[in-house]
Amino acid sequence: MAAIRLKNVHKTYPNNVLAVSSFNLDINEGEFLILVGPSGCGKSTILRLIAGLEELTDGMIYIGDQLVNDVVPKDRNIAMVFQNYALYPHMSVYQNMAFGLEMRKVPKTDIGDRVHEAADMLQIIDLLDRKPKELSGGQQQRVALGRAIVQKPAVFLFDEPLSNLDAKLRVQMRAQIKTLHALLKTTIVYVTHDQVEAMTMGDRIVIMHEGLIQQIGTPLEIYHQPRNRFVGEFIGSPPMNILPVTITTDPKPELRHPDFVLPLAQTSAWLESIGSRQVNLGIRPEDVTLADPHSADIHATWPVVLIESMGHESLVYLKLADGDFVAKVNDLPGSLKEGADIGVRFQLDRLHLFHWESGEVLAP
Amino acid sequence: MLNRSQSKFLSLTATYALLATGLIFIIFPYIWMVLASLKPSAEIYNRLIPTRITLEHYRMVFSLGSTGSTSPFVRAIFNSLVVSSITTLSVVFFGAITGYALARLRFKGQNLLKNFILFQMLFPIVLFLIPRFLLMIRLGWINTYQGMFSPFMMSAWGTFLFMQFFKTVPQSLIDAARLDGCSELRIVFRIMLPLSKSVTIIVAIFTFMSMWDEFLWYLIVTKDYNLMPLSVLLGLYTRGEYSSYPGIQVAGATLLTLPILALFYFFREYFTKGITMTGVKG
Ligand SMILES: Nc1ncnc2c1ncn2[C@@H]1O[C@H](COP(=O)(O)OP(=O)(O)OP(=O)(O)O)[C@@H](O)[C@H]1O
Ligand SMILES: [Mg+2]
Repeated sequence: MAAIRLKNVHKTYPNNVLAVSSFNLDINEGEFLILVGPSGCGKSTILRLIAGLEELTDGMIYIGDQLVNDVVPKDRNIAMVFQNYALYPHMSVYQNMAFGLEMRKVPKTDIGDRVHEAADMLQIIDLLDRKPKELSGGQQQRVALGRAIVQKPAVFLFDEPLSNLDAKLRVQMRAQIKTLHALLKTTIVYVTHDQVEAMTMGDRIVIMHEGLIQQIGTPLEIYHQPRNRFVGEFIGSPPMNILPVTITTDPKPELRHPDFVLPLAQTSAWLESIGSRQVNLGIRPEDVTLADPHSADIHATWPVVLIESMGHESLVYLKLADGDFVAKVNDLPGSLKEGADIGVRFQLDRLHLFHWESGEVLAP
Repeated sequence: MLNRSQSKFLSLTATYALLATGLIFIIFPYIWMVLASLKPSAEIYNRLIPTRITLEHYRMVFSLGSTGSTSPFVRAIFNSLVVSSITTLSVVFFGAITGYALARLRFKGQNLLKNFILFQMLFPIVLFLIPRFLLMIRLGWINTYQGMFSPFMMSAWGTFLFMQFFKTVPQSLIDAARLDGCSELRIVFRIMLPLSKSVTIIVAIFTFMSMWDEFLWYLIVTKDYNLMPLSVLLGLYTRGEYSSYPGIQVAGATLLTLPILALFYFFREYFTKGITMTGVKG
């Protein structure tokens, strides 16, 4: 277990691609930290910098109390699990797990014990003599985990470890990794672009976009209080609906959209501070309810384009003059059918307002 | 008009006829040589099929010039083996580490070096014979093993082959090995080489073969019978006092080809792989 500290980290690749910039992050001892963001945003780069597989362009990285900028990968006391598992094809499962220990001159009997202990934990005892190509994807994944565990490192780095598994295995492995973390209490930095993994596995999430940190927070903070439009749209599935609206103060503070008007509780002083009449309104699909178009307390009425029912919940796609709107609901009103109009009611305490240009959230 | 199966039959027949003719031209000299080595001397030039089989030429080859227990022929086989083996190990060793550095590391002048290696492959060896010879004289390496093998210890071709193959190894394997505590040299020998078994075998057998068959350079740097490799010794049989004994020449030449035939037999899949991977070589 060790804390990790990244101070003002920059990485420019030799081809002049700026992969990460001004990256500041404190990872606590024993924390399960998730790095998430779209492809190419620099997640793997951060992991590889922590591992020492890439050189920093600028900044400092501490593991524990040690500045590791000039420490070679093997001496950083970390273990990494790769997306493609990176098992040595010419070695058996046992040799794969033992290799790092042999290189570190751990006594032979200790190696045997540690490999068997880890193999036991991961239920791969029976596979120890096989070659990687004789294993299924899920088994290879567990061997890769085992190879990391036997090192007893202070930090685990995971780079999209589950993305090559099918959905069912992914759920299993998710649980297994969480169990392992609870057991070993090793600091974990886990890269994913899977929302469910991000929301369910980590203590905190770091959202990245184009090499910059967008927000750091617990899963619930990120979900309920996105700091900007990017975070709002990135987390949540289907993504948050974004509608352009104008703010009016005359006669009273309101949000105006061609199809609806919403009351605003904010003071006029706040409205002045925004400095713009145009804002983007963010509404999560799950923060609306649908009702009969003739009900009294609905905010807007839109035609239904498509209904996707998944049993316990349904996605209802609505057609607006200038775009689409998705609602995720449990109860379908009786009058709901494709092609007909439906009434929509917003949950007013769950609205997000984003600055028209910067995309920053407009906190009340 | 021919129908489809007829025309197919014709074209197949033509193809096979052509291949068969080619094969005869290639294989006939070899068959002639093997048969000749087993014929009585009198029949070598005037019969194809011997009237009786004899091993007298082979006996001659081994006893020729023998002083006491060592036969020059056995000595020459030993010399050829030493020089070819050292070269093979060396070409694999240097080819692998250089190929790895060029394919997977980043350093200043990398591209220059890469181009230089490719560039060097373009020149015929003959161009370097004289400068090399002068160098050997300066080093005092005439009539030494190192004089024979040192010019061949690194091969641009071998390096290039390793480099190309190492480029295809996933980066994450190298990363994993680095995290596991491997030095770069260890990565080459514990990870890259075992993963490149076919390339390694191809480089090794083709190098071994070309050293076994090498003649001109050995002829230039060796005058001493004790150090003479087999190819040069056999060359001597075609001149001077032995030139009127063709039986010895063909028997020696047949023996010279045996190790290559054995290599071919055990590694035949790699020969075809090697030829398709690299264009013809050796
Ligand atoms: N070795 C490299 N050389 C040059 N550019 C690189 C290298 N590795 C990554 N990059 C670039 O740096 C940026 C960040 O890449 P990185 O691999 O960190 O993204 P990522 O967030 O892990 O993406 P993904 O989700 O697709 O894995 C990208 O623009 C990428 O093209
Ligand atoms: Mg990545």
